Parts: sequence; C-alpha cells; structure tokens
Amino acid sequence: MRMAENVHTLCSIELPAVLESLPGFVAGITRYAREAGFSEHRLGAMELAMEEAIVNIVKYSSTSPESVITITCATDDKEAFYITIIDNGPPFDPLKKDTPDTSAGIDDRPIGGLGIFFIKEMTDGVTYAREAGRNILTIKMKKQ
Amino acid sequence: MEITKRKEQDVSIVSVSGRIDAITAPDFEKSLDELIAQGDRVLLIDLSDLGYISSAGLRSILSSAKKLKALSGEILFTGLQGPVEEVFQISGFKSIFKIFPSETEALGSL
Repeated sequence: MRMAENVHTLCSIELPAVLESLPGFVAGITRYAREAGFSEHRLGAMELAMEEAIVNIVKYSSTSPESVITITCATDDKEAFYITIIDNGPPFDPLKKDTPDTSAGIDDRPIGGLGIFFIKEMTDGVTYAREAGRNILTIKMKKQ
Repeated sequence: MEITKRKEQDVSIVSVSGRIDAITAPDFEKSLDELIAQGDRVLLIDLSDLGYISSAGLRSILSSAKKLKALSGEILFTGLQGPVEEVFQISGFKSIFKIFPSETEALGSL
C-alpha cells in the first residue's frame, strides 16, 4: 500500500498507552473523518480498527507507565483517510499473526485472535513498519 | 453499556445496549458469569439496541459460551442488526451460534 503523493496530515494525537485513552483517540480522529464525509457505517469500521490496534499495543507492546501512543490522520482530500498508529514499545508486527479459523465451533475456537483480522477485513489496507525504534501501523480507509 | 436481565420460563434474557468494547467487555462477561454461577443454563442475549461490538466483546461471549457448553448450557442470540451483525458475520459467530429473528422464536425453539 502506497500513500498518494498529495496526502496531507490533518491531526496528531498523543495519549498514554492505556485502554482509557480509547475514547479520546476515537473522538479525536473520527471528528475529521466525519467532516470529510465518511458515513456512520464507515466511521464505525474506522473506530473498530482503531480500537483493535490500540488494544494490541496496550496488551503486547507498551512496557512502562510512561508509554504513549501517537495517532495521526491524513487525507488525500478525495476518497481516502490514512490513520497511522505509532508506539515506542518493543518490535511487534501484528500482521504476522495467523488468520483465525472463523469456521471453528465453540469448543475448538481459541479465545482471542480476531482483532487484527478485523482491522484487515474492515479497512482498505494496512501496513506495518519498524522505524527508529517505533512500531508504525498505517491503516487506509476509503469513504465508500 | 447497559444490561438488563429478566427471566422467561427457564431462560435468562439479557438485553445489552450501547457499546461492548475493550473497556466495557469485562463488565459484560461478569454479568454473564453471574447468571451462570447462579445456575442459569440458557441465556438469550438480545442485541437489538447494541450499537458497537469489538473483538473484546466477542471474546467475552465466547468465553461464557465455552463455560456454558461444558455445563450442557448454551447462549442464543436475537436482535442482530447493523454493525453488530457485520462483526458477527466476519468473525464467523453468525454460524457458530444460534441466532433468532425474535425473542418469541428463540423461546419457541427450546
């Protein structure tokens, strides 16, 4: 996934890497997407993708009480939003996780493992990079 | 998130409104666990007024469903709609759980 050349940043929010930061991140980012004309349905998908990404960082990556997560949103002014979620925890590539078997029954089904799958299914592309000691997850979401 | 519970015959009907996300999911699971602990074996969860559910919510549901299954009980659903239905669809929960169009039909199936 490549960002279009004319993409520009709309916002950047930094909050502690804790679950309680979820509403702040979601409200802060979806405000811009709503203004850009995203439907409530797409905003819901965006919120879900952000929650799953943040929960993963809080669970697997954030190491100290001072850990923070930075989320930026950018747009090409046409059809797409790019949400970039950055943390400075140990390297963690969520995209390497196995795809869950969604046909397994109640007994066979492991608890968990759906978060990253949801991000992939509900968005229009997701990439991971490790740069300068930071995990960088970029999610692309189209308006339609 | 708001949870209301009532009993119909031997079935506990749990209506949950608002959101089940990573923050509220533990409380939702606790609510289901309390019913299981007091001896309830069939739970009908009404999702008509639920606007949002994430993988944390599904985790709670699956965890309670596993506990109930081990006790020969089960969880049924009704009121699936909108984004919640979409999440059930994508995750496969729509095919592993019994889902009914109405409460009456769910109770009638037992």
